[in-house]
Amino acid sequence: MADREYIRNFSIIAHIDHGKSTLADRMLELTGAVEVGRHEEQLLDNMELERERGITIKSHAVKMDYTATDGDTYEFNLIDTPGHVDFTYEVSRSLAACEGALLLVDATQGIEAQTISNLYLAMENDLEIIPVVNKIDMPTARPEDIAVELADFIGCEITDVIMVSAKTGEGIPDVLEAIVGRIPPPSGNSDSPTKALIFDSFYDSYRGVVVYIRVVDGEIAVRDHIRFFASGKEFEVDEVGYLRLNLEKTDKLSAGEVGYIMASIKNVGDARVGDTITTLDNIADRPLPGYKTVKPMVYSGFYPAATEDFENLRSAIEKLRLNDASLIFEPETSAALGFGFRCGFLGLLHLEITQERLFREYGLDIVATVPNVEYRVVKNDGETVLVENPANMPDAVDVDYIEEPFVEAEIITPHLYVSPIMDLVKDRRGEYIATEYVDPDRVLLRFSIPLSEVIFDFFDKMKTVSRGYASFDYHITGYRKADLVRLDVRVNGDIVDALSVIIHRDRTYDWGQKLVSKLKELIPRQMYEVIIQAAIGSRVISRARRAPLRKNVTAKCYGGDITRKRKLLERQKEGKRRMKMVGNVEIPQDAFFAILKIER
Amino acid sequence: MWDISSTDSVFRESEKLSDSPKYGCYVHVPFCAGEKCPYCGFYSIRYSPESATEYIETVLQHARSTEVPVIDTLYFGGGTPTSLSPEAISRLITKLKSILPVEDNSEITVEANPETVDNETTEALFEAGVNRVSLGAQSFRPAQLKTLGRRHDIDKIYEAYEILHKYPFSLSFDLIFGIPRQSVRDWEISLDKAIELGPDHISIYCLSFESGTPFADALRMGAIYPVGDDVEREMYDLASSRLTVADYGRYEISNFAKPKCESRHNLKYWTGAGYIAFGPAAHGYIPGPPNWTRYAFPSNLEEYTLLINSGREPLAAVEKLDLQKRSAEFLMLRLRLDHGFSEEEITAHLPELEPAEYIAALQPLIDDNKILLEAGQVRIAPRDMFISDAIIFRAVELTDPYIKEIVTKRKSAGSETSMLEYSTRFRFPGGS
Repeated sequence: MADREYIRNFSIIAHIDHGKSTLADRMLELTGAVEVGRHEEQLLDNMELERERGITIKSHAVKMDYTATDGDTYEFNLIDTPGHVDFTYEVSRSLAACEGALLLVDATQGIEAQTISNLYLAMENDLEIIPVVNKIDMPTARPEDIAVELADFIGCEITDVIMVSAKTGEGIPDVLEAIVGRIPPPSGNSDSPTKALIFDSFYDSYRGVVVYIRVVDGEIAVRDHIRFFASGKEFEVDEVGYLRLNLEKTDKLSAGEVGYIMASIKNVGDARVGDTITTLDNIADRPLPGYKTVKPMVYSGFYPAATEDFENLRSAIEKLRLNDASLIFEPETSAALGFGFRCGFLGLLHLEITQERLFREYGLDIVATVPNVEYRVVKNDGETVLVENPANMPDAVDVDYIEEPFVEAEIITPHLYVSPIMDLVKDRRGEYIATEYVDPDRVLLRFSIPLSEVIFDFFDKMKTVSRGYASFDYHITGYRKADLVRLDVRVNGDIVDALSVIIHRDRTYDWGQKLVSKLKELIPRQMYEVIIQAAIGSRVISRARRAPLRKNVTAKCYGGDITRKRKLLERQKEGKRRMKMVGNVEIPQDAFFAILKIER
Repeated sequence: MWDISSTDSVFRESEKLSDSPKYGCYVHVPFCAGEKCPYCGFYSIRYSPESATEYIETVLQHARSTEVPVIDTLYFGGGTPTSLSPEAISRLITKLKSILPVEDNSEITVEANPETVDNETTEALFEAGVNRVSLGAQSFRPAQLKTLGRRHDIDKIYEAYEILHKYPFSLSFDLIFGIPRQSVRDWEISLDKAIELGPDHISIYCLSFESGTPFADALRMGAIYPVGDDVEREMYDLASSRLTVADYGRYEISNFAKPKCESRHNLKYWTGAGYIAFGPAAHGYIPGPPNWTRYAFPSNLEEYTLLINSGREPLAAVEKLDLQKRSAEFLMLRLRLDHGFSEEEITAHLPELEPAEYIAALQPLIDDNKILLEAGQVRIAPRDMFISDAIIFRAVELTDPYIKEIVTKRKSAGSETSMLEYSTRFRFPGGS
């Protein structure tokens, strides 16, 4: 164990592609944590999905030993944070475990919206900020301009800004020295009542839950009896250790240190991010501040593509949940899709990742319904119901009003694209709040906008209208009244419950039209004429007709053909499992997927 | 593969179906005079006198070593059976008739292509006892004959007709529609010319792009295009009404006949009657409890010959039909017929079932008028014949739960044991 004076806990705040992982790799090499050139690039993103998408989903941490120019050896704990707005809370807890942060900005791009919101989070946690400009080796780099911008933004001297190229390694030693020199050592006390902050946890099928912690005060040692404040549950510690590239056992973790514990915990829900652990023989009377129960923001029905996979889906989701306390689910049934689960997610990325993992890790094909936010419906009798599945929307006649979650969004964009972005925001029912200058060329726009409008393709649209230059972030501000209705899709009169959406009244016509024409394209000709309608209650707002099948026949069927033909029939039956029946209409699963991809 | 030990008992058990229809016999003649037609998916090779002679002796050997039930239809298909020399085809038919128990009033059909019909061959067919000829006319428009890669022209059709007409054959024409670049008008002309000649029977086939054929390749490459579902439907509906008006009744999706001129042999396929087979790529069916069995010979003349010569059973595939498969086939085949099926026929082919419950399972299709139920007879609504695959598929789906329920019941009652043994009515020298 290092003396607290020699510990530095920090994280890196950066926009996607600004070089966070590369910087981390160089630091690991320079501190000897890994050999140069021996490892896979981007060590910290160890989930295959993270590497592919270039984003960090889980928090990670790694301990490095750095011998500084003053001759002393320091213990560095780099705590890596998730890089997506879906995981803002997790980011804030990771930052709370640090005393400092490297603010890493691309010399060719400048500061971006995501960086700013994370920077604010860091400032709220009183972190020492070290501004770092990366990619100074690029021909299009503007390091001096960016340095000025950064200095202005965080209120420091231009000389405080460190110039690096994580790719070539230039300037990295300066970063390491700055970490030693500028980031304060942890302030806690090993004799005070024990408080350790959980900044992540994951489930290992052999060892149970591994909890990543930052000990703030006191100590946690093997055989200690510990208590989690949020769940109230108690466990005996089996193992504690440091987070190197692998787990490294030790006897105890003291105030200021970062590491892991294992205590035969079966459920990550018992070791939630942001919760505080204390020890029974040195018990704290209150937890560290900042713990929140994470609430899902986006809901979607998950149905197995093959109906007989329902139980497999249940066990797969249960297993994913072991590792993902923010995933919530409960069984639901759909007339169109059969048995499935209504799942709650932190955001659309979280949803996609979950769906992807179900497929990759469990081989389960999922039909997901159109995602929606949670609505607050106030009925005429004064009762308030939370609606997370459009099918459960009370009858329009019983509804007094409906509220939906709103967010405050920050968009940073060059001047040039302010106008198209304003148009986009207005089109999405957003309200303009304010403009601030980030630098002479770029502005920060603030808007209030319904979450439901943001979770779909807002980000992609914004990237398109700004040619990729705008960046975006948001946080939830609360619920607001809106003129919302439920739009149903009917095929031959029967409602396809899985396609119902709650939508703003002004949008219904446009959406209904798109939905109906898409379905017309995707529903194959069948024995019967198929009438596809979009309707609000009994009022039809869009309609299309799919003409009945004209030909579906085996011209020749004689002796030899019979076995072959019957096998075709059996194969068709297999294919039919990919169809969902609503009344007498067969809807291909592709239709449910395609609906998700319709442009708003 | 060919377990003879259980033959006797099964033989006897099958004999109990004394009122069951007689067997048919299909002989595949795998030769064509020239290049194979580019749309044809059947097994055939280029004709040569040597291989034809060897083929005939092999088939006769096969027939001699097989114990065969009484037969009342004999069908020579191909390939082009009439690509054989008059002497050869005569020998094949005459000898087979003497080896197999063929009833006196049997229907004996030979497929012929117009360019292979000459006086000698026709005389030989007649002398050998052939009483039905199915002529592959295909089209009365030069452009379509060319597209199809046929070796005959329209004059040849008329010449062949003139020759065949001199004999008391029951005559059938095959016509193809939905040929790339064929117009509805082209089709109408072909139909009218066929009707004008007045054969007893007309089969109309919508061209299908069989995988592995040059046509399928050309389709994939975008070199040819189908005329499309809507045009095909128009052509089919046009043919149905033209033929009906001309006194050709539709008895199966693609088959129309003057009264009492239906193909007795082909009806065996659709009514689930038994048929045996000879020749490469030929398929046979032995119905009846407990082992409803389909089998096939290899689609390769050399392999077929080799197996027969070595005294072995030339089987390429044997499949016993469990209840589920039998039911699927029953619907698939019976619903092709204008007549459909009756409760009695359910009982005969699916004896495990309760006919009323089976029919009840089809109720949604009956409610939608896709299937008609009249006086106990179940059939596809005539106007929907050209979408019969969709209806049959749905019928199989709808009956599936009932079939599964019966299978489960029978399993728990332990009555499904005999499915384990394989047996046949045929005996081979090398077998036991």
